[in-house]
Amino acid sequence: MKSKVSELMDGELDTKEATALITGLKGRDDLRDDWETYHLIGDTLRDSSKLSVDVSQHVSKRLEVEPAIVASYAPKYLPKPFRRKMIGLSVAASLVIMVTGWLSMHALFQPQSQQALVADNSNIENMVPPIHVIKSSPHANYAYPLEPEEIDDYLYVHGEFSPGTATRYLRPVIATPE
Amino acid sequence: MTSVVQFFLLLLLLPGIAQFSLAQNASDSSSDALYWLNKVAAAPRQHNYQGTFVYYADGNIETSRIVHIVDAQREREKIEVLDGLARVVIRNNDEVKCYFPDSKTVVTERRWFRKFFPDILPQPFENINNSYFVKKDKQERIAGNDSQVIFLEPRDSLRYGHRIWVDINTGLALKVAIVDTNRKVEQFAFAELKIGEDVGAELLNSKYPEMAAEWHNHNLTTSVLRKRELEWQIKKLPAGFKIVIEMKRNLAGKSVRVDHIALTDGIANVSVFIQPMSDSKSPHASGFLSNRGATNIYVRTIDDHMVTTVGEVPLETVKLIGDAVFKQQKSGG
Repeated sequence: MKSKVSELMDGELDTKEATALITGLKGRDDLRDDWETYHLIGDTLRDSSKLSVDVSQHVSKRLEVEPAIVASYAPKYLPKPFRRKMIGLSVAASLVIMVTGWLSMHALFQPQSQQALVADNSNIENMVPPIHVIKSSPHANYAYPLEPEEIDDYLYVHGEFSPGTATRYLRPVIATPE
Repeated sequence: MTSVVQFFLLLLLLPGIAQFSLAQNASDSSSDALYWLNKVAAAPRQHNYQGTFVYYADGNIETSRIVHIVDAQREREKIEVLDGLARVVIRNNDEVKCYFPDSKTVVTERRWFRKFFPDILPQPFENINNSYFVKKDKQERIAGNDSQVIFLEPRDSLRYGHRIWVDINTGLALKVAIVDTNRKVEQFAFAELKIGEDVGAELLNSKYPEMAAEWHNHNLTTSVLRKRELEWQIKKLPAGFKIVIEMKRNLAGKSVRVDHIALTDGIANVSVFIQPMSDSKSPHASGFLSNRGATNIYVRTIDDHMVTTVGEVPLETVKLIGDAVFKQQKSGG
């Protein structure tokens, strides 16, 4: 039944099967949990900020107990002269940000001289080893090789150096005793 | 009047400050971001956890359940792969046993370096700044936990980028994505996770160790060699990579022993396997094998030996390393 839920998510069920399963989802908590879990996994992997699982009910309930804030916040507890000073300061801060922004943009988009770029690179090279930059993909230059018999074993033992790979690559090949 | 002068002085200084910070960005990773990476490396030795994580690459999802228990004496772990072929991995410190119930097989090996997700960083990790620019990104919520995103931006085209979502409270990696420019090539992520002392050691119990007494048992053994002792060597390492270990090892159920050289740039890993080709085989053409996710495989033959290079790096890098393999002349004949 769980696999059916997964198939429904992938759109692999026909209308009749899908309808039956959706009816089932309504009545069974465990299936609905699976449905929600699969969607959460999907959301996690997709970096989705909009969750598929409906959290609106929980949010509404939470909001009911939260105090409502309708007015914008203003530090009214401060005496008037301080408030005026704060406004002045915020205007000054905005000005600084605008001017800095303009200057940075100006500096960033100024065409840099070749000499300056070279100087920058040499600086980096002092700290890091030389870098090979290969632009062409060697894909097309080579024939498709035969797969080494031991490829699964290789991937398995390489797993020590790459977390997770031991669980990813094992196919029945390695598990078949000789 | 004085304040006006101060204001303009500040304006004059700002571009200099901005350029200085840009120059810093171009070279050094932020110490704050490196601090988070240290937390990621240390967290599995400090916390118990239990959860379900998913591996996703090329449209395929594989789900695994993990229990991780640590105390002063040891670190124990159980991972059950929930999709496809049934597999259960049980780790007791460095000893790893992988159970395959379908074929009644158990494979035993020792692991010194890294283990399994979310234990993703080697101990100790070093020289990362040479190959990656490590920086802090936004904060996000993963599997019910607030996380700080750390991005390891590659400094060249020899490696992929790595994005790590770090649990703010414990430092555990909640999600890891390997990215090629902006494309995610593979990801691990917790879908649900419980961290803390109430994750009990009884969750490690499994029926398989007892059942496996009757199963086929493959013991993967290795002989670690001294530097340059191996007949096969790598002429020139790509920038940022260094050799971690050189060894001879056996493979499950096979009599042949292969040479294995492992390399790392601190994050990405590459293994080179060299073994003689049997007479019955026709020579292989050199080339790449397709594989899932970030792992690329390059095969070539040299002096009746097959050299297979495997790693979570771009094609160009496995090829550079594979092509640099040569047979060294034995000194003194």
